[in-house]
Amino acid sequence: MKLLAGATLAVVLLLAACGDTADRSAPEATEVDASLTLNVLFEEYFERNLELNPISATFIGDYRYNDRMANSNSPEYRAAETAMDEEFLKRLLAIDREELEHQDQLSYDLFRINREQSLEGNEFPFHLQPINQFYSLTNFFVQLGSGASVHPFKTVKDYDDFLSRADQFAINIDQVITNMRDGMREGIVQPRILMEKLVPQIDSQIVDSPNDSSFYARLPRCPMTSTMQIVSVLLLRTMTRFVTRSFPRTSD
Amino acid sequence: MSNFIGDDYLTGARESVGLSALPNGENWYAYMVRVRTTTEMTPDEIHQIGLDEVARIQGEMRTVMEEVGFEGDLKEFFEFVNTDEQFYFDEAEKFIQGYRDMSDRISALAKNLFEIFPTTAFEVRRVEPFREQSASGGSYMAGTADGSRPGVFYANAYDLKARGKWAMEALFLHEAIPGHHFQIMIQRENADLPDFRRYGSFTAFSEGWGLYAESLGKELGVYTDPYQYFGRLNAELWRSIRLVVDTGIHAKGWTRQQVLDYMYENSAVAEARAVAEAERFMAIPGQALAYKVGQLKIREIRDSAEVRLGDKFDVRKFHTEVLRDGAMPLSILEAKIDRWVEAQI
Repeated sequence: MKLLAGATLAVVLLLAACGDTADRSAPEATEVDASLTLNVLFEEYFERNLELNPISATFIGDYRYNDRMANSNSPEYRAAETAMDEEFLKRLLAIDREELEHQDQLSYDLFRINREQSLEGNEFPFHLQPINQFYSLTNFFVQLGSGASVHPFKTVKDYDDFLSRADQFAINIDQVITNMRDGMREGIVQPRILMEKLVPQIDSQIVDSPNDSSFYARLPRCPMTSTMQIVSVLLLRTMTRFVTRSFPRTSD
Repeated sequence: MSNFIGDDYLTGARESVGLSALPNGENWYAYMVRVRTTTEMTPDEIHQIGLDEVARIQGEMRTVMEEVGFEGDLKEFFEFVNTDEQFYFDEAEKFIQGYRDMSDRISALAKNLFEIFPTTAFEVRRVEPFREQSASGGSYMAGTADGSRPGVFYANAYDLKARGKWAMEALFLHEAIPGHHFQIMIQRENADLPDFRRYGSFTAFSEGWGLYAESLGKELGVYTDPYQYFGRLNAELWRSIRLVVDTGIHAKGWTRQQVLDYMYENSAVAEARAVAEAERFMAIPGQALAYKVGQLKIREIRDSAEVRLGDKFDVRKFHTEVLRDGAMPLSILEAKIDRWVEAQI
């Protein structure tokens, strides 16, 4: 993907460099130019969005950022997302839609709607309602760590990556609590009935022994070769640290 | 966190359940409706469509009752299909095998209505027992376009007494083939699209397509068993009920009890599922509208193309045209198909 972006960029630079001698009035040239600018913009956006949302990258099978997890309810994340939406919308609108052929116009319209809807959403305090019984960061992370989702557990690095994500998950949870406290102060709170359902979901992950954790679930499926024994030791380490850090019995 | 929620947050949580009860909540819900349905329809309009669809589908269910020679009213029929042993598997393995056989059969039939197919591998898997209690009845996990991970239809074998055989074909058509597996993987495999489109999503498009895929059953050559057709109607009824109650909760001030009462009055739903669904609608406002709104629009677009093209209409080409460019808002899809129709006249 990076290579592709690089290649396209090179063509754009080449075209720009040829600009002095090329016939600028030729409609084909402008059309190609607008199309290239547009598609470079899309590639750059896609790359930067994967960096901002590393778990999205894992979902599409791009494992470059498997050791990272965004703190997506934090003020810093929200500011970065808004800045990106604004920057790319501005750059999109600088391209003349009329110069594009049909598929590019379609892409133009879809990209514009995505950015505009995202910016429009800033009017509403989603971040003050960061979790409930249905969209639960804890449930999601448990599934991610169980091996039944998209984070791979094949190599030692996969396990180390997950450990690193577990540290960032703990930061996420602190942020969720901070935001819910802000929500209480501002009168933006969730229905009681939903939050009552969340408590047992979280409690079921608080266990005395890592062996009782859902993170153990994937172990029985593994044939115990020597590699797997090493891996299971790593997994145990991951779980112990994760379970004790993220679901402490007495704190919070 | 559990302690924070239990000790602090619950004391400040609210008794109301709708988004409109919050400051700026009416605008917030209107935004969610726009994002999820990609239309300018108002909550009132959507509510009315839901009421009309519920009545229409219940009428169709009565036709099925006559066809199978059932004596009694709709409620008794619901009771019969929810309890009679003939409709249930006794072993998880047989249940999963049932889906695997169906997968082979429906994949072969899909050639009648489609001309492009995903190349990504596809598998039926049982939901892992450790998470089956909280997982939904069926779901699809997309594969990767490079072939390293297959697309997976997950079937939940927890509590087989809640998994009527009659629900199987419609669920498979929606989640797998030609539903989400076709829609998502054809989109992701199309290397001509910019990546943001290959991996993009609009709920009304994807869930509308899923429900539209359910409606293709008879045309595909499935639903030959009237109980499977009933299963399809039951799934469609539920999506229509969602239009009524989501707008009820978030725009009309319905209480949780009003929602549950409406569900019990109009469907075969058991209490555990009704409660879980009602609370899901409270948690993710507007999402539940995407299915029916999307399906109605895709069907309308198809009907209009069929009328205008007459003999020239080829359903396989129509499906290619809908799927190959990936998910998009319904109004943009409509304009795109319009252009495709114009080019053929």
